[in-house]
This record gives sequence, structure tokens and C-alpha cells, in this order.
Amino acid sequence: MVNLVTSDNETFTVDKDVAERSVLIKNMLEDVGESDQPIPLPNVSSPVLKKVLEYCEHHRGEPLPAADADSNQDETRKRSTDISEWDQKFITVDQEMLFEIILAANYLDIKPLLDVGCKTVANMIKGKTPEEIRKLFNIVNDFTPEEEAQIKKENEWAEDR
Amino acid sequence: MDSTSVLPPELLHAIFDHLGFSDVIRVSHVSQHWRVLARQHPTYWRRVVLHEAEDCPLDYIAVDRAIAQLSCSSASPIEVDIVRWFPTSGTAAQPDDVLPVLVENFHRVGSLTLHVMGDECDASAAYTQLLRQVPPSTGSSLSQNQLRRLALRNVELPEDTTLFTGLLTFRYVAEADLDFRMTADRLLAMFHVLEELDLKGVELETSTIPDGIESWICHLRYLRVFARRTSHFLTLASIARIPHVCVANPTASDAASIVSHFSEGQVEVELAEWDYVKRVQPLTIVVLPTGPTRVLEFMDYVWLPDVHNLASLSTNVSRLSFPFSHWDEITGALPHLVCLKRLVLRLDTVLNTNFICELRAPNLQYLVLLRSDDFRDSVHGPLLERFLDAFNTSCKSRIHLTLDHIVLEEWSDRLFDVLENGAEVRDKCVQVRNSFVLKAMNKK
Repeated sequence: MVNLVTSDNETFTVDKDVAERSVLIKNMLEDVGESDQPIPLPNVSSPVLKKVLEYCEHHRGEPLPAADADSNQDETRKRSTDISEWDQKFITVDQEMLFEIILAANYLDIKPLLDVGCKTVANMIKGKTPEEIRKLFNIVNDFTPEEEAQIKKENEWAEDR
Repeated sequence: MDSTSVLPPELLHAIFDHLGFSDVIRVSHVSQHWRVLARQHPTYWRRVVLHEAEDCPLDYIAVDRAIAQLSCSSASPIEVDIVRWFPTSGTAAQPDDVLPVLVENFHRVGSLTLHVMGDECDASAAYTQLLRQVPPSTGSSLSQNQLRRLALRNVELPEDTTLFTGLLTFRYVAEADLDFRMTADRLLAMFHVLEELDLKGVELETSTIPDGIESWICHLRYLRVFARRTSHFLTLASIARIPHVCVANPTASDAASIVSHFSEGQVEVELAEWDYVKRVQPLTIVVLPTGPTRVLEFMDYVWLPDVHNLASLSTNVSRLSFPFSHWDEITGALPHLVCLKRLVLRLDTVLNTNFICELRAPNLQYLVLLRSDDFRDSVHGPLLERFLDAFNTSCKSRIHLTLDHIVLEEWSDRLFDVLENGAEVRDKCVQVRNSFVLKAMNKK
């Protein structure tokens, strides 16, 4: 068992193979060796870690992606925005939590979870106009009139063939 | 507050990794911050477009940009779209500078469009023989070959066909006097996973059709052949299983036999202008039987008056799209369109003929009016109103109207009622010039 301590000082006790879905934790455990020392995760809050551990629990035992996956495999992974049914359900959360999960997955180095999060945001963006994207994420249009004119010219690039 | 502001640049890039070119361009139009990030992403650079017009030669800026794109897109797959004219007017730049860079990066090309145009197009070996300069890939496995989409015009095919092994789409037009002969067995040898095949001006040597071509053809998703001596190739029973077949220039008997494969059940017919480079306007008939969706198109301008073929389809036509102006030439020859539910027409057609008297479609439910390029005037509301009245008396059910790219003025209250009760205005396209109606719409 491994003890994880969140930014808000909550301790989670989980199986080693669940915690080791995180490459960060795996490396830490290897560095410290056999020890009961709790692992501090100052960048992750307890609600987010709870969610992340739910993911790790579900996917425990699955092979970890190789660190040196060749570029072709990487390309296929990028192109596909398919998300498995369980993951889809798992990631159906509000925007704030979605971004928190992405940040945590990045910090904890859980590549498959990072992918699921990024794909979900990408799917939200796909096919939307710039105005719709601004509305979606509450982004302010801060272009100058000159930039707007340039953007208008670029619009034809974005047309799908 | 911007909810994405918690994400550092590298994580926004990780999100952009999952977007295609068009989405990344749109993302670059969201805000200053996103623009900077999008422009740092390889996908932003990955479509190289180098278009030359007949009277407007390429300039150095376009060429330099293309070269910069090839290098900025780093390792990501690229889409290359080149149109060149020979001879070019004026002083041309040295756009051939692009070609060595392209050949060097050819292993990254996922989609290539290369159109060599003009009277002297066969004089430019650098372009017509570009594919022959690509070094053979070190292996023929799919993973080493990125090329999925290839659209060529007046470009010679290479001897080394390993380039073609991963192709999903192949479009080919031959006009110039180059070596374009394509035998069916050469097709078979070149394509392993092909889904879309579109050939024009290619001589298919049908006498040498090898065994097994039927089973090869029936795996295609799309087949269009615009070439001589193709009837044998196309009337094979195997094409009946392809979801989308397009036949150009069929003889009447070929057309009839092809139709017999497709015309069971209800049928959708689309007569569409085909915007081809030379601006011929062939007739397209799309036949969609119910059940598994299949599309059959015929393209041929001269086929238009030959309405016997159309008449044989028209009793079970459920959907008809006719963006031509000479609708009156064809309506008289049509039997009752008893199954017709949806009709797409050009607005000038509707207003300039005794259209409604000739139309015999009692079950029509949906009417879509388009504005055509050569009819840019605005439409008077009262005229449209009278037109809709006539429609509503000749058809059993109320017509659902869609106005697409139409400018209206002088609206009346009653027209507004009509639109409110079951019509759809594509609001981005329709401009309303009467402020009264605008007010009414705001109130709603």
C-alpha cells in the first residue's frame, strides 16, 4: 500500500499497482525504495486525486505505454479522437474539473489519462467557429481591427476540402 | 474568466495535437494568446498551398512561404496542394525551388494534389515527372508510406508503385499527351487498400481485365470513371455493391442497365451542376434507394434532354435537386412525382416559369430555394408570398420552406406568418432589408 497526501492535506491509501499508473509516483517509489513515507502531491487537490485514482483503479493491470513509442504509433494515437465508453463516462465532468484532471494527469505523468482529457477538449473544439469557441471557454476576443482583417483573409484556409 | 487559462502552453498544444488543420486555423482566430500558440503548432503549417492562376504567376513570397511551411511543419504529415500553369504569363519566379524540398520531404506527404495545367503542361518535366523523382521508399510496408490521398492532373505515374500501396483516394485526370495508359492489372497492382477511385481521360484497357477485378472493385466506397471504353468495366454486377458510383458519358443503354441495379425502392435524384475546371455543366443524377444508402450519379450535359431515362426513375423519386434554370424543359416530360417529398430549386427557376402549374407533386413537404451565382437580385416578399400560396393549394400538406442565400425585401406581415408557421430561414444567409420585419423578429 502507498500513502498519497494531497495539497489540502488529505491522505489516500491505495494499492501500489494502482498508484504506479502514475509514472511520477512509480519513479518516486523506486527512488525511495521500501518505505512507509507518505508521498506528498502538492499540485493535486483531494477531489481531483479522488477522480484520478478512480481512473487508475479501473485501468490497473493494463500495460503502460512504452516511453519510446515510435512516431508512427504516436501519429495514429493523435489522429484518433475515439474514447472508450468507460473513459467517456468518467470524463463527463464540468469544465473546471476537466482541466484540473488534465493538469493532474500531466503532473502525475499518466499519459493515457492525459490523452483522454485532451481528446475530450479537442472534441469540444472540433467544427466550432472561433466565436463558438470563445463562448465555450469564456475567452475574450482581443484582436485589433488590423488583425481581424488578416484573420478574415485566412478564413478560406480553414475551409474543409 | 477564460477557463482554459489554467492550462500551460504545452497542454494547449497537447489538445491541438488532436485537431485537424481546419480546426487549428479556426483556433488561431480565437484570441491573441491562442493565435500565438496555434501558430507554434506544426499542424498550423502542415497544408502547403501553391496555387497559380492562368493569368497570375506564382510570386517569390508564396514560394518562400511554401518552403517555410515544409520546414516548420517538422515531422507531422503534410498536405500539399500545387497548381501550376504552363506557359505562365509575365515573369515567373523560380518556384521549382519548392520541388527539391518537396521531394526531400515526400515521406511525410499524406495528401498530394498536383495539377499541371495549360497548353504546354507536358513541357515541364520537373512537374509532370515529379513522382518519378521520389526515391523509392526503403520498404513497402504501410507504416513507412504516409501517402493516403493523391490527386493528379497531367502528371506521369512512376514506375515504382510502392508509393501507392497505402492510398485511400486516387483521383487522376489526363489531358496532355503523356504516358497515361492504365491497364486494369496495373490498377490492381498499385492499390491495396483503395477506397475512392476517380479517373478522367484515362484509357482503360478493358480487353485485359484480369481475373479478380470484380472482387477488387466491389470493395471501393466511391468510383467515378470519366473515360472512353469503360462500359464493360462499369456494368459489371460488382458496382451495384459500391455505395457511391458516378458514371459520366454513359450510352442510353448503359445508363438503363446501370439504373436497373439501383432503382429499387424509393429513389433520391439530384441533378446538380458539376463545377468542373472547364465549366462544362454535366447532369448529375443521384439515385438513392432506401435500405443501405447508395448513390448513383450520371454526369453528362447532353443527357439532359434525354428525359426517358429520368422518366423511368421519376415515379419513385422521393427527393429531387435541380439547380438549373431550364426546369421547364424537363417538367413536361416527367410523369406525376407522386413520391416526391423534397425539392431543391434555384430561385430564378421558380419565379420565371409557370412552375407550379407544371409541377405534379401532391405529396411535397419540403421546398428549398437556393440563390444562384447569376441571380443576385433581392426578392420581393409579396412575390414569394403569392408563390407559397399557390404551392399550398397544389400540395396536400403544408410546405416547409427553406431559403438559402436569398435576400428579401418588402416583407409583409402575412409572409412573416408563413415563415413563422413552419418555414426555416438560414439566418446567416438571408438578409432582411425591411426594418419592420427585423423588429418583429426581435420581438419574437
